[in-house]
Amino acid sequence: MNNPKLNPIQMMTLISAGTLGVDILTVPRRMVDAARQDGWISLLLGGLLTLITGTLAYILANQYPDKDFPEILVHIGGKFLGRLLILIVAVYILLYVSLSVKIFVQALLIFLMDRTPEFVLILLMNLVAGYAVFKGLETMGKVVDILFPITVFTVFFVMLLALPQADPIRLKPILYNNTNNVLKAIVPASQRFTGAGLILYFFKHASKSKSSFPWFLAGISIPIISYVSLSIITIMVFGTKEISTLTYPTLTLIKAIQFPISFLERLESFAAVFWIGIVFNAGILFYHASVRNTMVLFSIPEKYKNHAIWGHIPVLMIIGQMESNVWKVLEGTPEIRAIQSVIVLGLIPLLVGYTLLKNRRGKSDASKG
Amino acid sequence: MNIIKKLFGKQQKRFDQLNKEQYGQFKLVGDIKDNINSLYGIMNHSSDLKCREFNLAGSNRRAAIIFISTIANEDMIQEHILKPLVIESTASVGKGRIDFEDIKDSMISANSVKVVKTFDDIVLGIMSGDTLLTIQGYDKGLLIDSKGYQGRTIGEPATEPSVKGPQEAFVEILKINIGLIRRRLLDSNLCFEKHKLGRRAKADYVIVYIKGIANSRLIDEIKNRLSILDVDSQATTAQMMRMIVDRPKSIFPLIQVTERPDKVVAALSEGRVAILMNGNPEAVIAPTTLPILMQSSDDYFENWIVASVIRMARLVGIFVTALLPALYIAVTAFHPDMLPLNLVLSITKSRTGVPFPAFVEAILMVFTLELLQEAGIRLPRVVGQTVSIVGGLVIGQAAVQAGIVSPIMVIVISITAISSFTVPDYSLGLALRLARIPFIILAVTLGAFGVAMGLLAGLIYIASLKSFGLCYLEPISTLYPSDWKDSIIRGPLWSMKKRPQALEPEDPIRAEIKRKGKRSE
Repeated sequence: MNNPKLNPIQMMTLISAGTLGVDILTVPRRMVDAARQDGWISLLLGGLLTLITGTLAYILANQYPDKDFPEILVHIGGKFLGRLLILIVAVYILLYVSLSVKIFVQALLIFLMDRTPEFVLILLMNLVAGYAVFKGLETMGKVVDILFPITVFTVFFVMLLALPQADPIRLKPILYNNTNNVLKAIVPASQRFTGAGLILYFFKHASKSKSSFPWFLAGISIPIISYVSLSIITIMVFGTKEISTLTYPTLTLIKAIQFPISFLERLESFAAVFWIGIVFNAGILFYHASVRNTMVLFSIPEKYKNHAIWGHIPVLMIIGQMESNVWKVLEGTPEIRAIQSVIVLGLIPLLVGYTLLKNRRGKSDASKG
Repeated sequence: MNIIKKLFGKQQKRFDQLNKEQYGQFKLVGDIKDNINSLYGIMNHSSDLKCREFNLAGSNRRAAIIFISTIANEDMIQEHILKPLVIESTASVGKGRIDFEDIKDSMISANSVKVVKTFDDIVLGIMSGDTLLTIQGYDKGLLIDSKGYQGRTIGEPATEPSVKGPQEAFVEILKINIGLIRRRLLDSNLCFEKHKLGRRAKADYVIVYIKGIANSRLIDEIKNRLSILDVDSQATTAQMMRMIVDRPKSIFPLIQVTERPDKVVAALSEGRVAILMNGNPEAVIAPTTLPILMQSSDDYFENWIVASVIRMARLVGIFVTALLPALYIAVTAFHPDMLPLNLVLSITKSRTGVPFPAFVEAILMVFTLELLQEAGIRLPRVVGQTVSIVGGLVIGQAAVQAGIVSPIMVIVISITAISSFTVPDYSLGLALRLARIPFIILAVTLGAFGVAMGLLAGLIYIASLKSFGLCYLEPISTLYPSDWKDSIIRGPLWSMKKRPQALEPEDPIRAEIKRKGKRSE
């Protein structure tokens, strides 16, 4: 009955829940835009790339088991460079959280709450997410433990219901004159799995055991399987032409389902309510990461953590209000994606290389000594 | 000696104004008159305090017995204390030398006899039903066990009925309650630790646990929290425990209150701790969690598949209790397009002529339901049934016919009420009833989105609750997968080889059960 550390299975759910975010609504459209009917292959390859970058993140976290990412950055980079790097990561995560909520709220406005002001929905979502972070990591772990299986089940249930309308011919031709596009889309596809990097924030609180790594990989694999399957089903149901006209193809997929019992008229509205949990899970985990970044960046003592948590609300609100057109939010994020690429493909491998080299030197110096 | 006597005599006169801290330091003196007067002073000349003076058999030495007639067994006092002392004789008494040990061992045939000197011990003993024997010339007395409360016999559980389980419930007498547990749990490691609580009115309470199963840190934690309680008096176990729970302001019960001995025994076997208090027909079990509060004794008397389905139905009942009125309002006011057209039409038709919006209708009906439930509890059982007939049928029907509420709203509220009765724990049921109101407000302001946000906030709140260090949602988490077998579902009994791991029992293995066909023999 002590405060238990996160066990390997809980790590898996946290990583999965952090990765399965608002992208679930838009991923088929984005992949179709990038690689047409072969978008799912890019997504699969992007997932494999994430498994590699995720492994690097795991190695880095494992090298500093009592530190989280911002602390590692300060430890390696020193006060100035370390804080500069935290600033980059912090800005990225803030933008990610804020725009994820924005995208989801836009979907809610279309499918559920067409008369409610957008800022009310954003404010309420941020407040509840802030409340979760305020209650601490253990509480967040429990909440994710409960919501995650339900949300994943609904995703696969939706796919199952959509199967009768799927036509495999719409996936063809596979890789015909499209290899370049598929390859080009791998890196953007891997950016759908940002949540894998959360290991750098949670490893500090995890119980260290040999089984942690397989569970961590399982945690990345669940979203990969979910996204790839969802993309395949959506392409099979709508075809690439129709998908490229849909903002939220997944919700439209639900709309297209011919539910045998007409208990609910608009299943997509129902799903929009249900999938608040998916966005919420990812939101609170990134919110936590953002709070940690802020605390280390500004050297905020633990006793003022609540200030850092609630201080996020106005910042998230301002970012959320900056752009009113959801398409511009969706399309206008290459800068954010560029920062993400720099962090995932540049910074983390660099830090891992540096740490391993330093450790090897330390060992050889010790053996010489 | 005389000076001391004089001094003490002066102090005695002030006994009437003394509180427990002050008289606690005084001791018996050699004069029984003084002792009797002191005791009467301390007890404020209570009418049920009885004193009988007499000469010890075979000597002229005066003695007296003092007891409270309403809580002592007068027959026992007559037969086993007074009669031997007045009529029978022993060698030591005949010689004029009184050996307290001799009287204790040879003359008084009570269960427990102890030598006392201070008024602190004496007052506490007398108020518990014991009898004081004081003898002229001796500054010590004998406190003889003569408790004889009048109490009701063991009856059926009133608030936790069971179809197939045992039909015994706790009563108000601690001794009988201990016996009810002891009879079911023939384990020499079953510990009953007796303590007292209260500054003015001392109450006996017992901490019950199985040594070697219950985690020693949990036992110490409960003892520590109880030991720092400094209150005048404590009427019930639940009140006492609610003062020491992790979050006293929480509307959700963080302790389990039960009147069923079999539930206590099951909890003790899992590694939990129970607390019993004299005068209370209930036991409090700690720690507790939400899934535990959703369990019923009957779950364990049925096939595991049946029991699991019933448990899940109960879970649905919890959601319906808290959410159905809110969801009805959200759907009708914000998202009528979510429902099939025919249903929307029939709802609209039923609401024709109702002057209030659905929100006001719901609040009116919820409030009426609460009044009816409260009236049903307060009134005698026979009249209570009349209230439910008048309330449910007559008022409901009349309200619909008068056009104040719609028939659909009556149906919604009725289903909500029925669902609330499926919650096995009364306190949890009350919390869920209270939770309805904020959900209704969220539904009327933000529709289904508001309800979803309220659910998330509620989930976060519940996930943050702890009962004596144990998370309130255990075992619904990935921390202890082996505990899932007895959570939302009830797994087969043969599969429950381990005690709940979340409780960190000192002996984690409950059974080594081999299924048919896998027996080694």
